[in-house]
Amino acid sequence: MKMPQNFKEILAENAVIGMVIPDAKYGEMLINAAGNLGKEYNKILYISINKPYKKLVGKFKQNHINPDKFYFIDCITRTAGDVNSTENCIYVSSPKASDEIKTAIFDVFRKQEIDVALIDSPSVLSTYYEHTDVLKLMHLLMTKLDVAECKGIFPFQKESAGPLRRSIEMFTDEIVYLESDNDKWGFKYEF
Amino acid sequence: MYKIMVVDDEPDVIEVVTDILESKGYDVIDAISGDECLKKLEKEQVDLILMDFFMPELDGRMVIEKIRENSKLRDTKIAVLTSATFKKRGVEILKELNVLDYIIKPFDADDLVMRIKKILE
Repeated sequence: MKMPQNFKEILAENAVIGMVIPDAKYGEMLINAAGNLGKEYNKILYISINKPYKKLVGKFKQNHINPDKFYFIDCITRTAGDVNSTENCIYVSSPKASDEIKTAIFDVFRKQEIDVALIDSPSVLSTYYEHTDVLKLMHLLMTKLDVAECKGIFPFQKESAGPLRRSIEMFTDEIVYLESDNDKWGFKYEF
Repeated sequence: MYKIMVVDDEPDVIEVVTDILESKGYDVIDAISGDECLKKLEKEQVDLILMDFFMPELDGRMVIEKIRENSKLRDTKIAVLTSATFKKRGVEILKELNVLDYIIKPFDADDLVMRIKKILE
C-alpha cells in the first residue's frame, strides 16, 4: 500500500475520510491537520462543537495558520452569551440546537464554495444527542458534502470515541490513523 | 414457508414491509429495536433478517455484529433495509459482515420482493 503524502492525495481518492487521532495528542494534531488543509485548499469549513471561534483562531495564529481560508460554524460561544455572526463565522445557539446546526451548514454551502469540511468532533455530539441522532446528523452532513462535491473529514479520538466511531465509519470512504511519531504529516496508514 | 424478521424502529415501515411480504406468502415477525431483535432470535429461528441502520441504542451495524458473534446465529441471512447511504468503507463493512443485500428506502415493493426471493432461493 502506497503511503499517502498529504491530505490532497488521500482526499483525491476518497470524498469522506475518518481520521483517528490518539486522545493525548488530539487537540494538537487536529490543529496540525487544519494547518495542512489550509496549505492544500482554498476554503475550508470548520464546524466546532465545543471550541469557541476566538480560541480556535488564536490557536491558528499561534501555529501560523491563515484563518482567512476557513469558514467557521461555532456551536459553543453563544451558550455563554449573545454574539453576532461575523463574515467568516456563524454562531449557533448551542450544540443541542441540531436544527440550527443543519441550517448553518446549509447556509454555508449555499453562500460559499467550500473545498473541504472538517467537523470537530462528531463524538462530542454524543454528549448532547442520542446515538441515532448523531448518526443522522453525520449522515445529513455527508449527503450535503456529496451534493456539493466537497470533501469531508470526520476526526475521532482513538481511545475515547467509543462505538460512535465505528458507526460513523459507515459514512466514510476510508479511515486514516494519525500517529504523532510519523512523517511530517503525522500519517500512519492502517487497514 | 420462509420466515423473515423485519427490524425497524419505525412502526409504519414494519407495517408496510410486513404487508408486502405477507401478501407474497412469507411469514413475518418484527422487532422494534436491535435489542428486541436479539431477544427474539434467542427463541425463534428465521430465514432472513431485514435490518434497519438508524436505530436507537444499538444501530444496525452493532446488531449485525452481535448476530455474527453468536455461534448459534452467525449464519443467519441478513439484508440491510435503510434510508442510510453508505460510502465506500461502509459498503466494505457490510461485505465483511456478510450482509447479502443493501436496499435503500424508499424502496419499490416489487424490487424488494424480487431481491428477497433471490436471497432466499
